[in-house]
Amino acid sequence: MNHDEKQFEELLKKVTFDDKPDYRHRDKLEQELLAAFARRQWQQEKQSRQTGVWRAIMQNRPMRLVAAAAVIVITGLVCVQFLTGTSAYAQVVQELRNAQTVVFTLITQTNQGNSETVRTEMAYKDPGWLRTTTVDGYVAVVDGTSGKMISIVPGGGYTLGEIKNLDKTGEQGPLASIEAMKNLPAKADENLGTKEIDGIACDGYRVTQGDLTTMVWLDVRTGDLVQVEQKYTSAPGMDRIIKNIKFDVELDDSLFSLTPPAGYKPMGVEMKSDVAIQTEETFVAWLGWWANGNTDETFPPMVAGTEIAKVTMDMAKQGKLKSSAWDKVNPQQMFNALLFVAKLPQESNWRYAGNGVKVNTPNTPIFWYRPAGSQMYRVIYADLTVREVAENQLPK
Amino acid sequence: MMGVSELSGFNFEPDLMTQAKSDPGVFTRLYFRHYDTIFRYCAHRLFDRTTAEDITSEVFLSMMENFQTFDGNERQFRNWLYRIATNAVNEHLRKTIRRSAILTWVRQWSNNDKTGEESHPDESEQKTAVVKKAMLTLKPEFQAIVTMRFFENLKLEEIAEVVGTSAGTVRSQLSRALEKLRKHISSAQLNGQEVTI
Repeated sequence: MNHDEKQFEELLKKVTFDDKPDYRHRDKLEQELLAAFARRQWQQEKQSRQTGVWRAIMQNRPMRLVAAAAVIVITGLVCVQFLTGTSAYAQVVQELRNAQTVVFTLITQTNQGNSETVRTEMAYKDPGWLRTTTVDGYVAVVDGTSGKMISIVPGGGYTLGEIKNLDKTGEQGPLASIEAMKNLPAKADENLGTKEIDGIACDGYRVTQGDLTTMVWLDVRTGDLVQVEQKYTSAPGMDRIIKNIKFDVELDDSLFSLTPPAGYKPMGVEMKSDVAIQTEETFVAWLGWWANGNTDETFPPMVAGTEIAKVTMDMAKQGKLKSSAWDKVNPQQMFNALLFVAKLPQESNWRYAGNGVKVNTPNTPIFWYRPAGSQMYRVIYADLTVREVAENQLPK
Repeated sequence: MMGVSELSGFNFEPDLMTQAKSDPGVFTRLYFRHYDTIFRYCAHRLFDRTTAEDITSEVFLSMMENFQTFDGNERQFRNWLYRIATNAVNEHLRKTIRRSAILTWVRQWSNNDKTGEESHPDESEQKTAVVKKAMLTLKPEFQAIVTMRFFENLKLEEIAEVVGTSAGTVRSQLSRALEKLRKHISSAQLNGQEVTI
């Protein structure tokens, strides 16, 4: 390096540039690229009329996990609590109660590394049909009346599923979520004042129910619902924003069809589960798979559907899952494990504290809950042992 | 002899390219491994985050068009991305008025600073503005070479591969570019800005 080069290099050491990548852009572009990738593969398949793309993909370990995660998007519905929040507020509550259809955008901020945001478009129609669509094109449809569902993956794959005893899911079950939405308390706990959201001046109201705190924001001028923000005590760092909310929009029944789109092919996995029989053992086994399967050897950042699917996929993409873990990917186990949490009622006082905890850390509780009818709590520790503990001995 | 994986401190993975063509999971990993590099290169060329993101998107989507027919290892893939990015940024700089807008902004900032009517930026901010201004006065081709050499720490041979010339030519162009930069920065110094090179 000559004199000029050294001097210029020295100068550059003293200057600063705004060059830190924004991972929201990176993730958005990734989705565009994957969609293009899938389109290209699909076109190639059509042209060559060779073995189905999905058969090839399902022979591939990373994609098996992605496919599994797509299926688990269905259980993301367990996260759709739309609880609460004066006269404009009461009017909105009434609209919610009477709504035959509701559509909205659910934005989850996991605050976990690069997996900053999960954005899902949600549509609900009486008597209990739900459709979720992620920005990268994964679609899940659930018929809450029968428990049947379909997960549609961009590029031409689908998976069918069925959850028996769906009505036995707790406050975080999909139907309970919609019921909660329709049973908002008529009065809010606190008026939060005014703030601007997307250029609209809004009045805010706070409602606290159990471990969920909800902020409802209404357009000052029209009284329309603009945004709902949720924070969970049991799931810190998993804040949710609900926006683009519309009531009683026309939603064609075909949107909720459980029939696979023409030309799409089964992905070789079928999710069948019974909420009533999901056990703690399944949940512990899944926690163990996760913690032992990632390079950091830590427990998952959360134990809820959509978010954990997204985090798992991101970790796979970043090469943070051990190769030995791929061989043990079991979508059904993941599905069942998440349903176990979904069915826990609010009275169980379940809490998750495993985010970032290393597996086998001694004497470190990562999850606890109180089984129905019991005075004692079941506590799962980082070494994957489970003990019964009195309430006064629980972690603070 | 230096191995491919030792170049520029980047660990290139063998076999990644072949797998990425048929496996979306591997393709995504490849994308994650190179996104930051390309974004930073664009940001250092354009000094504007939003435009840098737009060009980064353009680069990867353009790459996607020909990815299946690309025949090379990961090092060559990275250099290919640099080449697409260099062409896209150069094209952008030629077409858009942003370059003059940035220069106007830098000029206004410099004038405001001299009159003392606006806030007083610290020494780092002052140096940054002068470097940005000086860089943007270079021909896009020279700017690309300076950015790859000093911001991305690429070796002359690697730059030569990206721009499709010899290492000797790159060295010569780099020398001329630095001479121009020295003049611009010295001129800034004469105008009262404390920047030395």
